[in-house]
Amino acid sequence: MQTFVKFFLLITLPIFITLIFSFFFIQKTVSGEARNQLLQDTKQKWTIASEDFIDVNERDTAIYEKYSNISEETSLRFTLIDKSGRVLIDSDVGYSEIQHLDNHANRPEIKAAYAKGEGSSIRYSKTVNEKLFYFAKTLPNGNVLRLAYPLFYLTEIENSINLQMSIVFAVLTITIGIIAALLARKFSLPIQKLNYIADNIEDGKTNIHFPRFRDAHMAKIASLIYKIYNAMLQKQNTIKNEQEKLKLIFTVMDEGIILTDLDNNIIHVNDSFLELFDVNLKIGDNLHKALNDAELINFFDDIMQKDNIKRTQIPFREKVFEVYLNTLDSQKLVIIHDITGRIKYELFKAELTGNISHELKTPISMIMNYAETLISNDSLDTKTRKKFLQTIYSSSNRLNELINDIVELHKLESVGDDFEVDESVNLVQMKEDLETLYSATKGISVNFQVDDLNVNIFNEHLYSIITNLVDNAVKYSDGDKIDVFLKKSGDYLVVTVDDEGPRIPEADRDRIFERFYTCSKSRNKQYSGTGLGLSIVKHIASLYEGVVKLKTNSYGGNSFQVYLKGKV
Amino acid sequence: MKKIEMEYLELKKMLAKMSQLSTSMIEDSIVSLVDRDSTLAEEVIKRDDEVDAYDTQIDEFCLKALALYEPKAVDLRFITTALRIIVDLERIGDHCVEISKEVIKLNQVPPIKPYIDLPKMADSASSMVKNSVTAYFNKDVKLAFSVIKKDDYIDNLHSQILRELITYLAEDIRKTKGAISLMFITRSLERIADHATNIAELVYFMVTGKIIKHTFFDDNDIEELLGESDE
Repeated sequence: MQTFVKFFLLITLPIFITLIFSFFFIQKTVSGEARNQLLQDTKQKWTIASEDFIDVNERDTAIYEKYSNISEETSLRFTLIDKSGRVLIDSDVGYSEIQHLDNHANRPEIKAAYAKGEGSSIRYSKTVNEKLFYFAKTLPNGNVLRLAYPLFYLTEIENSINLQMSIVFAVLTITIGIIAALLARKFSLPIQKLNYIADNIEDGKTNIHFPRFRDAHMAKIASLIYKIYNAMLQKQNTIKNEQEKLKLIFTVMDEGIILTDLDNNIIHVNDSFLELFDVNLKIGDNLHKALNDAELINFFDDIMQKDNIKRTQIPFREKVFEVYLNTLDSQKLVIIHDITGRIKYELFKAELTGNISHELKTPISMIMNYAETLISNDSLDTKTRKKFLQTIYSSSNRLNELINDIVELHKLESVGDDFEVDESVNLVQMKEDLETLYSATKGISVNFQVDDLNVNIFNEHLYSIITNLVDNAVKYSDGDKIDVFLKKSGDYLVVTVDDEGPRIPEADRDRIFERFYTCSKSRNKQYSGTGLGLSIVKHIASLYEGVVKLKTNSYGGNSFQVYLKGKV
Repeated sequence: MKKIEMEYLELKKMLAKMSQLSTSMIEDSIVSLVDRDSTLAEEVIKRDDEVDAYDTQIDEFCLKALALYEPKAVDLRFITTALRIIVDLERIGDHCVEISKEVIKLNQVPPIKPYIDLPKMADSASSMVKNSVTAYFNKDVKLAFSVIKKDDYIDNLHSQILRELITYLAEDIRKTKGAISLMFITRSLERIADHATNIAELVYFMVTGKIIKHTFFDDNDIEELLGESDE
């Protein structure tokens, strides 16, 4: 609308100003011309009338009568004034009153006539109560003859001109107004449309209706804007998608990531970071301002002071973090990875390797040493020889056992969860087998209590669990009794092996299921085991979706409970 | 960020360092007691120099900040409180030195008893110091009051350990030397807890502008004060 008004005014204003000026000019010219003509006319009349007045020096009734009549008919007024300004004859005034008229020498037209011979003026006459046009000229005898003519003639002309001009003016105004309005509409409409588009784009609206343009140039401009705008929208979308992708990646990552500027104001931080340190940071916060724990402040102060950190392990509280820091142009990127688990695993692995090599090396070095002695020393008596050979044999046996265990464990590991058991085991049958096996055990009695059940568990798996647990109990228990229960509890078959102590120390309870782990660090082979038994038990239990529990029983000894679910 | 805010962060960082140093001294001095590790005890004694250095540094820093920026209201209290907290932290460091000296003496005589309550007491004391400083950073009145309340627990432990030590003395006169050292250590720990309480009281002052030093509280009082500070 504003544009419309602007265009309208821009078109009409100069035209109106010119129009008004020219009208004034025309009016001035026409009225000047009319006045001039009136003067000429009056001059002619004066010449005609002057004949009669040439020789009049006093009041003259005859002439007065004559001109009084003329005056009545033509509304011309004749006045004769002598050199001193006294009125001798005035056609519009009663004859007797003429002598009472005041002196006329001061009237402008008379003054001019005295001075220059003739003069004219337009003025209001009190004598006749009208606006009159005066013309005065001196006669040869020095008197002045003045002609007066009422102005209505001139006014009439002027009025008629004004009327006509007003009509023309009004017609012109309306025509120009209409034309200007149409033009203004034509010019302003496309601009308004463009403005509408621009406003919408500025407001960030996505679905903008682009109006049609009739004008080819405008249509070109609009289509260009449309193209640029669409390209921009696409770019924005791409950037948004990229950002979301990055954000998603950051969120999913286990590593804590924080991006700050050089003053440690946070630019980005991912959830893992917040979880790692259990803090609440927002984008825009200053890292040191937002942290309120002395240890955390120190931890990050130490990190942020540096320009570059390449995968350095930094312990913090009970954890170990691997920290990576890189300073970009005006940003610092810190990646923090919790490697506590890995460090623990590495420790465990190192220990495991140590244990394996120890377990393997001990029997081998025994065999080697004794065999070497036997080879190099021929003079040994038969008894010693036999003793040595016995040791070599038992060491080989131990090695064999160990390798068998490792193979079995490996087999169990490679079985996976998907296997089927097509044969069921009868527990009473198994009890009889086991009783035969342990009947020869000296100093300790192994008692079995079983439910009469068939379970879908591989015979050797169940056998391996029980023998491993019972063997351990026989080896490590001080008591003289071991109870074995095979009972059903819900979906599970529970294998319980109770001994009479001593109890396994609290600290070792979590670790005895690790491979090659034995409670006594001294590795006194008084009780020799491969260290793999419980590991095997645990593995079998996991194959049958079960667990191994270690409890303390009523004798103050250890109670291993293995939960197994029969496979169908 | 404004210059003055950067200065506050600098102050915060230095205070964090100092408080961590002090708490590490408490923890390590007790570790050296339990493990009978004289080397660690000597190391703790040396660490006090660092704490002293921080004391001087923060002191100067605060005075400079006061002179340069003329802080008002909360900012002013933040800085003046820092000035007083470092005094307590520095004293805590001194007490740790006392403990370590006694530990070195103790290590020359046979151990007289297994330590159960002392590490507990040291744990509580160091967590009190940590919490009071965290309360200062967080302007957290509740945490400050939890520190003040915990002081009673420390006092109880203190008298309990003293009683126990006196029974040892009565049993066996040869244990006198060790028992006296242990009494000093217990006393130092109790003093450390008192300093932590001081810091907590300063925090209350900083947040609310009210001085609660030299006042005894029961639980009702504390709830009342907490209610006030919430408003």
